[in-house]
Amino acid sequence: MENLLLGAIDAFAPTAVFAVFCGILLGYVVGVLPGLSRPAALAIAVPITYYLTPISAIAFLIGVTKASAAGGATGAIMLNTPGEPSSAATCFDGYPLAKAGKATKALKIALYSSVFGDIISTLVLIGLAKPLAAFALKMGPLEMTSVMVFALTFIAALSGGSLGRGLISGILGIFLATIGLDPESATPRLTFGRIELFDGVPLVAATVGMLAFTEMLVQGEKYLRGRAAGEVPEGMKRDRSDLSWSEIRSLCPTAVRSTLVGIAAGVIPGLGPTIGAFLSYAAAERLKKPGDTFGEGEIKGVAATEAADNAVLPASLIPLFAIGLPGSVSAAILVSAFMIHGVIPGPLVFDQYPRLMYGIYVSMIIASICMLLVGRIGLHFFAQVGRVPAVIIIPSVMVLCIVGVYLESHQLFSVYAMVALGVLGYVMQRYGYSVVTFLIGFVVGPLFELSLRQSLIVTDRNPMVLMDHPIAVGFLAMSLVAVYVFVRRDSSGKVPMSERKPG
Amino acid sequence: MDLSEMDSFNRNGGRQERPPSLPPAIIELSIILAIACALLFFVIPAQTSAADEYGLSPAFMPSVCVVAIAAVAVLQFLTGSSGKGDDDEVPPAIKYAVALALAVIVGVVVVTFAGIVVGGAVTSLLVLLALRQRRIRLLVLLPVCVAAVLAAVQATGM
Repeated sequence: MENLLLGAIDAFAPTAVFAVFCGILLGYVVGVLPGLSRPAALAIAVPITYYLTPISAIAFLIGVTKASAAGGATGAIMLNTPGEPSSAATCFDGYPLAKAGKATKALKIALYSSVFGDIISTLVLIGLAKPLAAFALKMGPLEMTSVMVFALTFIAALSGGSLGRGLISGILGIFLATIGLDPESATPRLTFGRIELFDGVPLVAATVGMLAFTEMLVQGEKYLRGRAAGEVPEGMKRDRSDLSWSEIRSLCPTAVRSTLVGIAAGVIPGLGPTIGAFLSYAAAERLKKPGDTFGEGEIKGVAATEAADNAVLPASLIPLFAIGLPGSVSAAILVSAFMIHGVIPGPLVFDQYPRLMYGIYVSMIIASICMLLVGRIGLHFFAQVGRVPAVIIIPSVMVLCIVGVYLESHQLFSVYAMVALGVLGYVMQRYGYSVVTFLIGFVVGPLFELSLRQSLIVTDRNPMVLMDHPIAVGFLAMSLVAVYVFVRRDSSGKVPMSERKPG
Repeated sequence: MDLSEMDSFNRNGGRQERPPSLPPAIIELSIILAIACALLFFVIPAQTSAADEYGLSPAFMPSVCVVAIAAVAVLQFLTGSSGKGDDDEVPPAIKYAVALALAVIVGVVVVTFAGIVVGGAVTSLLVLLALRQRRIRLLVLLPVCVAAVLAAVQATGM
């Protein structure tokens, strides 16, 4: 109780509340802008938080993540162009509502559903993370290694069109994480004589480069190709339609069901908000009643996707806080923020930093309330932000990438590394290799290597010892089942639902 | 150009020969295996030192990763599970991304010699030019705004 009160005091400090508010504002802008994704914005924002206190830094980043999920619906509804990939499903019914002159109603539904899903998921996180962490402390190196193998397999399969390419991306990320000093002998490994690499490839350079910089290369290429083809961007529509209390009541069952889907998608590593949103939409459509017009402007469609989308992030922090395993790329970037401030996420974090953890929980609730207030007040303004042209966004973000990485390390080597990794990320995306899986492999790599080395010591390299660890055997078996299922999917040529293009 | 369109009938009704080309899957596998071999037999041994009598070799984890990548690539090729439409989709021209990347690289070089404020402004200008912008107002205003913001950031001592 004492730690809860102290954490709450930290969270309600003016600097922390201001950090949350700024994060929410930035998150909404990022969510609305089609050219800048949530992970990219987080990656850029992390080095900026270097000069903040840990609670303010984490609160700021959580605000960015939450609000970008809510803001992504704006472009989806107004322009049929989702600001975030996870908002793509919102286009199915949001844009038809806007075309029918009900844009304001759709925007309000998206906002209220987002806040509802976010708050419920945050409460689940607060209730479940610590008990799960206590359970996780009973897991040894074999169990941790098998959990990470399972998580990486799932992430690899669901992050792109091919399990094989996803696995290659994830393993490549782990390979890149081996650059630096060997954990046992402390001798340089793959550093090519560069002292700057003794601590490994800079984490911020990797995340900023492969998310933000890569995305700007892709957006710039898209802009230039569109310009060469003579394409004209679509305009926006506005209206003054309102949302009635009876409509809000009719949305409650959909919002609750979708929030539960989003929580499940967040807890299971690799599913992420995009999968969660699409699964929720599919479930809502399957349970539709006579008179529901899914695909033609059904308000339940908007509520389903947005509630699930926003429920994913808090839930994805459960495996992060409980066992140190990021359940999504946003959570992986939050790991870098924790580490910058000297906090290692994992089951021991509740014992070592209880005040900070309770402070983060309270900040998350504050962020949810701020999200509602800022979103409601700025509803129409954020819709206008989406009209910022790509020729302003792209050079600005590229300069931000350079400045952000430089601010974090004050080394130009990190900036060159950021550019090189950005180009690598572009090449990977171009040929169907998942950058998300790569980054999660990169972040998890050191922990995976440590667990694997400990496992080899514990088992004395005798695989039969594995039989004494049923949890590890269970996770490895699930990994094999997942490989079989996903290889069959890839061989049959089916397109994952998350890759279905909006309207 | 769709590969299937290359098999077409000429005006006399005969079949035109498709120029010989390796399927993309074989090219992909060859590149991955070549890089894996280079890493496994040259780079990793040269960039890791021999282990003492106890503990695992520093080369253990990098080697495991490279072997795993090669194995997954071979399995993917053998099962034909490389994902949707790989042989049908042709990636767009790379020249746009190359131009943007070069603009940023030159900008970073300017940062190296002239500092973050001038370098940032030059980077934004070069990127605008790479985006084929020729409006003088934009070419002047955006770099000036970038320089002003960066100067303010520098003034805070960050």
